[in-house]
Amino acid sequence: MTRWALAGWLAFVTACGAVIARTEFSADISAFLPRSPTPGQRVLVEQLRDGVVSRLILIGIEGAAPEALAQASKRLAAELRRSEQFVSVANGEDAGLPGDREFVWRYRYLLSPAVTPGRFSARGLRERLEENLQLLGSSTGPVVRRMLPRDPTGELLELIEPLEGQGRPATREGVWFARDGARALLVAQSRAAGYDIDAQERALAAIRSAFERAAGGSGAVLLLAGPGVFSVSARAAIRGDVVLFSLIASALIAGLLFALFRSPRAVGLALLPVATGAAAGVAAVSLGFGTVHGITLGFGVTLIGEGVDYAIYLFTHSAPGVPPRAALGRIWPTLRLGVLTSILGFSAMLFSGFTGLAQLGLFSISGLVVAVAATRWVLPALLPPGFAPKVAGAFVPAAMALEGRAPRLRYPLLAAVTLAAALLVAQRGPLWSEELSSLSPVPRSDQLLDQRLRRDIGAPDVRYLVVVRERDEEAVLQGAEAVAAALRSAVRRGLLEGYDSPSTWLPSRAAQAARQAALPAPGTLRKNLAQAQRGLPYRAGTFEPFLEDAAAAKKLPLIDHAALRGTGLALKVETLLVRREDGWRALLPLRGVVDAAELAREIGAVAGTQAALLDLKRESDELYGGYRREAVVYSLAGAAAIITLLLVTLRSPRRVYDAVAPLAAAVVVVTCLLALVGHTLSIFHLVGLLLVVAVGSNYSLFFDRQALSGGDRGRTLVSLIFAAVTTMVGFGLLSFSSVPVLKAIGSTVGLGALLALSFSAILQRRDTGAAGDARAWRPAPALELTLMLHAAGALVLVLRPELWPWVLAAVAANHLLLAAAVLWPRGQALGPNLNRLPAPAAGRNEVCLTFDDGPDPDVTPRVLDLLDRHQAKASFFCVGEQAQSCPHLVKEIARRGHSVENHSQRHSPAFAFYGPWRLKREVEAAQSVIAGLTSRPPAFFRAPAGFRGPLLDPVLARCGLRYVSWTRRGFDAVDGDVQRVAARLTRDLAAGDVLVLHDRAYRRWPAGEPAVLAVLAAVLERIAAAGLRCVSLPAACGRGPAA
Amino acid sequence: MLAALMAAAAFGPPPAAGAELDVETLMRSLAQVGSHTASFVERKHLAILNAPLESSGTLVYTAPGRLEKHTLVPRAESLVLDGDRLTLEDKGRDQKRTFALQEQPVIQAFVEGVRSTLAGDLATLSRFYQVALDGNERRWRLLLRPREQPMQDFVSEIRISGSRDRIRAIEIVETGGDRSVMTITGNGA
Repeated sequence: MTRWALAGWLAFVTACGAVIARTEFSADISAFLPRSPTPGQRVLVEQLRDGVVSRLILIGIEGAAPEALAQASKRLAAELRRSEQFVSVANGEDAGLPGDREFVWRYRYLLSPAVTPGRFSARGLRERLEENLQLLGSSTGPVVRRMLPRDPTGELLELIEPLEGQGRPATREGVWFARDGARALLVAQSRAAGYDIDAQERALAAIRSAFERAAGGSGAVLLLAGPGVFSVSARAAIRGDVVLFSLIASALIAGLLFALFRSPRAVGLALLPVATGAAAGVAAVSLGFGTVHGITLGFGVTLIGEGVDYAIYLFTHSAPGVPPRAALGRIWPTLRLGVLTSILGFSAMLFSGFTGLAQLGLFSISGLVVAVAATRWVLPALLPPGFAPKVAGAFVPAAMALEGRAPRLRYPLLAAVTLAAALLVAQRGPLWSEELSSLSPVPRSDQLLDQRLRRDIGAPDVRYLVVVRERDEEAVLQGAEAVAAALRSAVRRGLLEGYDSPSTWLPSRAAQAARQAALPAPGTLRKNLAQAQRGLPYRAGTFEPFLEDAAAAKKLPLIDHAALRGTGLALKVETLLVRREDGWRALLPLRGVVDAAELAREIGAVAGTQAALLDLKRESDELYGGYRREAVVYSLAGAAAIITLLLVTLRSPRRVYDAVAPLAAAVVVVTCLLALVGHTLSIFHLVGLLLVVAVGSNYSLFFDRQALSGGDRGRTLVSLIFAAVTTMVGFGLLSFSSVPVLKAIGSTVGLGALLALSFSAILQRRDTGAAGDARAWRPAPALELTLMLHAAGALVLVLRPELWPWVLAAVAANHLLLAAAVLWPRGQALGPNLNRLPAPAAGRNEVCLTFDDGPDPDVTPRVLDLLDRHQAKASFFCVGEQAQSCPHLVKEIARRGHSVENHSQRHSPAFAFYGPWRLKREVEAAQSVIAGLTSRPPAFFRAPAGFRGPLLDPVLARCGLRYVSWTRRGFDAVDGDVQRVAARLTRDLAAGDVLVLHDRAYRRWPAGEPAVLAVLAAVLERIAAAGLRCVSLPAACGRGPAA
Repeated sequence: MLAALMAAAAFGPPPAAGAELDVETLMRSLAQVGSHTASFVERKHLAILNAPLESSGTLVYTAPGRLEKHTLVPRAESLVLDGDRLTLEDKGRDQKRTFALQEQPVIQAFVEGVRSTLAGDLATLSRFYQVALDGNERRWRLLLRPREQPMQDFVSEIRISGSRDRIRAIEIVETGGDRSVMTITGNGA
């Protein structure tokens, strides 16, 4: 077995190693963007990954006099333009690419949308020539005069004019500057796409070294911003964090282990499941997703903290003489349950729409499962025989002392939780962050710099886009042209400032052909021109160059991608014209949109093409909103799954409540603390809270195991504390990361895990055994929660009175739930409730018959006789008033060896609604009446009809009474059918049952016989037939005289 | 008439009816002139046209650096130079564009000399142009030649003539031979 386990482990580790060796690691930010469902979101993601915007690098130079800055800017720009890594470098110098100007000039007749046949008719030409005359005389005359001989129809102006709407920065010394003159500005466009982080890194390095050469000694400082910059620094940050935190975590945890066990071998062995788990996690993600994201590796640090817990549990429970296998046998069930709850917690992440979160989920689940499996099957095989690391001596007594004092903090803790809940509800600012940018892995300072530079440069925030979708390139260009025409008219009407379209520089073949055809044949054009010139003062021959150019244009090959090559326009067209699996898309970014709704309508109305206006900001906000909703759903589902699992395993709502209450308290307190510190919560915090529940359940479950002796309890405590500390170290380290994902989850879980452990210790329920001990009484859960809710509600009303409808609703719901609890007689919610005999009694095959509402002079004697005949002992819950009227009967009951218990003084139907003083009077009166008649006061109490009010529990505790309901009742008070009643009482009859009958003649046979007697006879026979014994309650519970 | 004046000036300074003038003194006296309005008539002689183009309108100068040229005939438009910002408004097409003067070197070449002269700003003038002065206080003529590219590409000489502290005429000779002559009246000269 040992050999198999070892061999299996070695093989597994080797397999993992093989997978990891071939794994690709990436740090692409977009892994934390969605597997995008809607077309709008897909465009958003594409733009972020490799759109025009993603290639821009914003450069600022500051820290010297403006002349020096301008010099630096010019030199830097010159050098960068020589480099191959940049398509364009703009700094305000009019050194725009000659390639661009030449291209536009050469193809102007194919590009200009104003080229129509009418333009070159005699009349059209005359109109243009007349206008030009006026322009020549105006202030722009000199400009016009230069272009006139070649371009009298002004195509160049047509083409350049739409570009003029772009925001331009201020200029000083011939280069761009921020308005206050403190910063020179440049915009570089990299050849590499934004998602190619390696290439972006090279580009940034080129800028930095060029800057050194351009302005090394002048004291000027270089500022860089832009998507590429973000990607590179995010990747560096992630890498740095992963390495640093893994090292620190391993060192700290190894140190902790050594402090605990004082044995290097123990430390090494304890880290083995962790290492195996980490390897398995990486391999699983690599197989499942293809690449492993750096953030996933960063999250692996937490696995170190958690994975080592299992080895700690194993080692601390291995005492000398207790081989590891036996220790495992004891703790395995709880351990397994803890692992399952953790897995459920991480599964919520696995199903989320974020690839990144899904990776984290898969990594953690595989890592945990393998770590536990290694602890279970491989470690025992590797441990030398007799291996029992001694837990360093001082820890056990210290832990026990701590734990002993913990329950004193119960009320302060409940008060703190109430306060935290009230503060959360009364929170004035938004609790949850609303924006996608909160998920960005970019630190805040970098984001601010980017915003500043963008504002200075006037770089447009690309928010509105028109998207045209068609099957092929020609169709999509035609569609873009149709939309562009609509947009031109919209610009004229002031609906927006400007737009960009791929069809501006690469018109559709149809449009180009039409324009070429619109140019008249050379001879015709000459004739038209001559006619147009008649009477105008233009010198003859002025327009010869124009005629030459027009003739050449008629023979030009149509513009295609090849013609654009070498110009900056090529890149622009490339990014605005994209090809996808399902066709082609043209993107038209808009600038200065004034009326988006009207624009959307007009674009939708453009005939003949599918075009839509996209609001990227709204898309991204909706995307975020979608994630948040999804995250809330998955987190709640995860929590529900965990609670269901606990219900199924622990089988008792009370135990589940005890396990879950400390976790809920931890969640509330952590959320409140985060909110107080000023963090707005993001999806990652939500995930962190779920993990607090999952991980914390490992601790609270250990406090559920009550059958622990002193030594065991001490060792368990120490192991729990150390496990919690290592988990806290693992997660807590992440809260120092600069990556928001890791920081959010780290701070939430680090704090939450520690609180979960502490709260579990403070809130633990200790069964003192002797329930009559009034000092140990504690309010029932329902009562505690009710008090807390009312207190929180009052606080909320004080802090934010306008929330009173909510408070009212909550209080009303609370009372409804209380009423429901009252109507559930067998429940534990309102206090301890004995609804079956304790286990030892059941082991002795005992059942208990109880009779309510007596003593009755008619029925009771006959019941007593019947019981004697069957040698059965029972318990009689007598009403105080009845006892007072038939004292001899009470004495008789006691004499015959049955017990007399308390059923209230007057058996009022309104008993459940009595206030505390009236309850006290009722209970105490009956108590003293019965005690006066029998030699011992009653030890048990049952409420009239079984309806106990919420305030009964404290009264009973004060009187030293224990509440009893039943396992089975017959409804003999309302149902006269003997067989049916008897059947109800004895169906599935088992040892430990408590049955209830009434020794009162509620129902009589036609002949006048009380029906209950026949029922009792039948029941007694069935009990005997089942081989069970009837005893009284005190006897069954181990108190009082043996039956 | 103006041409005759120019020709006369070319043959040498007229008999000194007033004191000899130097550039600094002229600039100082021009700088002291506050805001005033005048009318202008501009004639452009372009090589591509066989008749001159004529336009007219008003000029408004506000010390120290704001110059407005409102053309009424033949096409309503205005050019406003305020410090560094140039605003061109074409009232016919209802278009208005604003930009920094340095971004339009062609226009800068033409306008800078006039504005600096009106402001009496010898420093700026000397930075962009070689400055020569002839004449006397009653009739003087400033000759400006651009020092550097890109102005040299467009303008070969600007001749501003005036009397005392008022400008009377501005003649701009472009490279390539085109010429524009602006006569200013109504400003008290």
